[in-house]
Amino acid sequence: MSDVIRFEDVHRHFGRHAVLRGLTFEVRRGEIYAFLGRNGAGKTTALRILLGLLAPHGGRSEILGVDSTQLQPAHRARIGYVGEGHRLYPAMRVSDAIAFEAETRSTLDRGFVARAVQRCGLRPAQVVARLSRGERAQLSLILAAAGRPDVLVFDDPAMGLDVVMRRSLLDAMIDLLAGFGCTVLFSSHILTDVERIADRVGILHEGTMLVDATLDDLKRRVARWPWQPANGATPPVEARVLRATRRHDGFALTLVDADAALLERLRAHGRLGEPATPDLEELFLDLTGPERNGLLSESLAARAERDEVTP
Amino acid sequence: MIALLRKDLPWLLAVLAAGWATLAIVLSQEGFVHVWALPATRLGGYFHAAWICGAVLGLCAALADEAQGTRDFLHHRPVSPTRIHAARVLACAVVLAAWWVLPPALHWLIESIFGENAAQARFATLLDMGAVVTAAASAAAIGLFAGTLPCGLVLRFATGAATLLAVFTAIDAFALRPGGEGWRLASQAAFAGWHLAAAFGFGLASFANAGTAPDPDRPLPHRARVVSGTLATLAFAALAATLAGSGQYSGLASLWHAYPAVLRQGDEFVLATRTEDREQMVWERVDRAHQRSPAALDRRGLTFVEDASQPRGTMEPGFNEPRFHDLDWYRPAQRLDVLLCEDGRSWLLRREGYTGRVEVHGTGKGEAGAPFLPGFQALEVRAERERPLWVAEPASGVLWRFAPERGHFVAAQLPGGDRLIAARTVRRDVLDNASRPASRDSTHGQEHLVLQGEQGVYRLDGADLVPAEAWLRALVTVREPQRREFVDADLLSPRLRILDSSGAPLFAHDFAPRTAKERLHAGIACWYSALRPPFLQVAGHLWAARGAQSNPLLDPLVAGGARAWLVLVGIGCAALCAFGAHRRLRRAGVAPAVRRFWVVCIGVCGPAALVGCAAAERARAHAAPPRRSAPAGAPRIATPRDPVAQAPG
Repeated sequence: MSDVIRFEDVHRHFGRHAVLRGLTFEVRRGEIYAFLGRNGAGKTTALRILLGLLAPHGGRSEILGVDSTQLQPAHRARIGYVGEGHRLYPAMRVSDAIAFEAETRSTLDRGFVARAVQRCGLRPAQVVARLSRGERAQLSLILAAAGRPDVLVFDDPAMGLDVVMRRSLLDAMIDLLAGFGCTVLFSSHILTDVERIADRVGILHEGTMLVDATLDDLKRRVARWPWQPANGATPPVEARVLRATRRHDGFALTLVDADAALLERLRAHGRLGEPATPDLEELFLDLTGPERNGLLSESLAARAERDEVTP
Repeated sequence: MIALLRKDLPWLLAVLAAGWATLAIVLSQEGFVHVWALPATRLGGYFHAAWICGAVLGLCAALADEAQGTRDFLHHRPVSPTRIHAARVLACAVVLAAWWVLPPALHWLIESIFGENAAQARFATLLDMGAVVTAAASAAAIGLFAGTLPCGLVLRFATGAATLLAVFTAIDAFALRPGGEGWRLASQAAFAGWHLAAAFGFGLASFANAGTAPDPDRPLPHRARVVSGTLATLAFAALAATLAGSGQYSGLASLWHAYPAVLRQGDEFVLATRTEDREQMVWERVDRAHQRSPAALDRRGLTFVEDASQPRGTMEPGFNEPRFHDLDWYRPAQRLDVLLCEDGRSWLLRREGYTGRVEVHGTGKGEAGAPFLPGFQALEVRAERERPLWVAEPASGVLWRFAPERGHFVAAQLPGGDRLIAARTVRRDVLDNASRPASRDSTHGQEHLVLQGEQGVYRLDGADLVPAEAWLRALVTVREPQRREFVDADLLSPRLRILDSSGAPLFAHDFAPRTAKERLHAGIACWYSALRPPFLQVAGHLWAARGAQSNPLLDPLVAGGARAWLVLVGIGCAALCAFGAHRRLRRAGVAPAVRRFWVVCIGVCGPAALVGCAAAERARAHAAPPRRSAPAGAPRIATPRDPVAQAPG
């Protein structure tokens, strides 16, 4: 399978704040890639760089095999994009928005739009400014998908939606993409949704990728172990220990690729319970939440000095 | 393209309607008769409304998507940025065309329905209105150009304002010529032509910024820098030239005020400087070196010959409203106005007392209403009950009097069938009060209007023409005993000669800064020269006429090959600025080609270009990446892409 989207060591800063620090990952044809990260992690910046709407300070990004800075209208015709906030022209009616999309995107499938609009309960006479957030998100999604693009890029499509609307949008997204075969890169905060549709997950934190893995692989490699240390022992600080959360009876250790030697060492210094597989949200918190441990690039020694969790 | 226009329809219609209403209201406030029935002289409000509406239109076109947050939504679709921008330009052109047609049409329509004077409309005045509205086109293009600049909003607005001011001042410099009172236009064609040229130029230049998003953390794209940077720098330079000209004007006015005046006492000419003493201006004699002379000034029979004149021909930067016609307004009888145009045409306005209805007719010489020949002079004489209006026409040797009952001018016979040679205003201004210090205030000049015929001299006495008294005849026949002329009309060091009637020199003085005060004012005037753009200095030095000039962009001090050293000082000043800018840019890590570009710009345009350079090349755009932007390595949890690498273990 060839890469449809590729980031190669992309750097970008705003003033003194480095937003992307050597972002590298790729998305293959037909893959649904969830791009996760906290607010300000650089997701939108990365997507705008990918679409050629923002220039990087270093590295390069490609989409459909073309450098993002060299995208021509013909390439853009093969890309669908839903930006942050689902921006549409507010004074247009739904029918106007569809007509505008059809006139500026020759590949638009009007039959698909008509069906999708009907399914989502949107009325053509409705003014965009008076649509609810969820309706606007659905309309954006329909318009982006109706051009039969090879790549769809969604920037936080469920942002600001309540649970019901989010679920409705997600269903619409799944329906729209069913049998579509296009590559999807979407950023999101809603991790339960990601688990439903994504083939692969990338977690961006402080400008760099912490995780670029399939969900199955994550579940297989990451486990949460209860550990009661004996004689005041503290959890080990190393790359395989993602997080050590203090509990009333000891610690909950989130371990990645825990081998027999590490488990033996833990058992030697305390009582190790049965492992549990964390869901994506717990894993996300372990990786990007405060007091995270082993995945940070800063030195372990410095970390050890600052945190209570010392070996 | 239609789709791109349609998406802008809401704001386009709003701006179109707002502009239409504004222009129509302004037109209606000018008065229907003044706009439609007479050569338009009151289009100042229309001009200001037009350029303001135009600027708003341009900014709206440039910023609409940015303001709505739909910039990315628009630009990610398969339409080239040039096409998107072309749609904006087309939208502006449509609105401008509507503004060109609709407000006058609405104004006329309203008058037709509700007013009394629609029948008086002369559709030739549409030319005047059409020419004025071209200011909206240039302002819209400048607004569009400034609004699409790839920089911050504040900088875009500042650049737009500076460019607008500079371009309008420059157009004034090229399209207007000095008139009798203030400034007026040479023609509608010149005014409209320059504004349309500016609109075309800036509209075209705005394409250089098409699709370029403002990014303060990256250097400007090459095309935007070269096109927009150069244009903005030229605008800054033009603005600096006019601002420097304004400052220079003040310096020169102070210098001329400090120079001594030439007074005549009998057959002797003396130089005297004025000082203020207890609210009174006191004259003191000075020698040729402008130093106070010990010889006292005898105040008896002192006459002014040459006063310290203001330097002429300098224009303040700004939005000067156009005047296409010079129309003088007279009221020879109640509810009856006569308007005389500088080109010899005249109109008659009859007002009805209660209805407000105005009747406008063309009038002129005789029943045929022929226009007056060039060189005619209107003479309004104040009488007890009426103000008879006379027109002297030396070219035909006939004096004309307006006859209210007939509604046109009739020829007035000079006594004895004399033929008119000239109408003159003679002045008698003598300083003969010896009881107090000779002051300017004590010069009581009286002006008398006289008509000089081939056989005699006459004066107007209300509605009558009478032979002039002997003393008045003497003033006319005994011409001025001397003629003043500037051998060199240089504004800093004028050379004055006073000649007798045969042309023999009576007095000569070469003014130059000689005292500390004069040198200070001269230095200030020269300092402003050094701040002017070198390319304009060189142009003025090589091609402009010496002395006072009418183009505010050119320096009168170096015009006509004068003071090459001052041009060199200006070039040196620009070179210093260029050197400083080069150092700053090098420290900021700017590429050598960009540094060379700005060195050339500053070298050509002078210190004003520094502003453009500082605005365009922000240190932030060229700053090295922050330390923490070093790559943080590969993901710590990664599922290998290669199926072979996914082996268990």
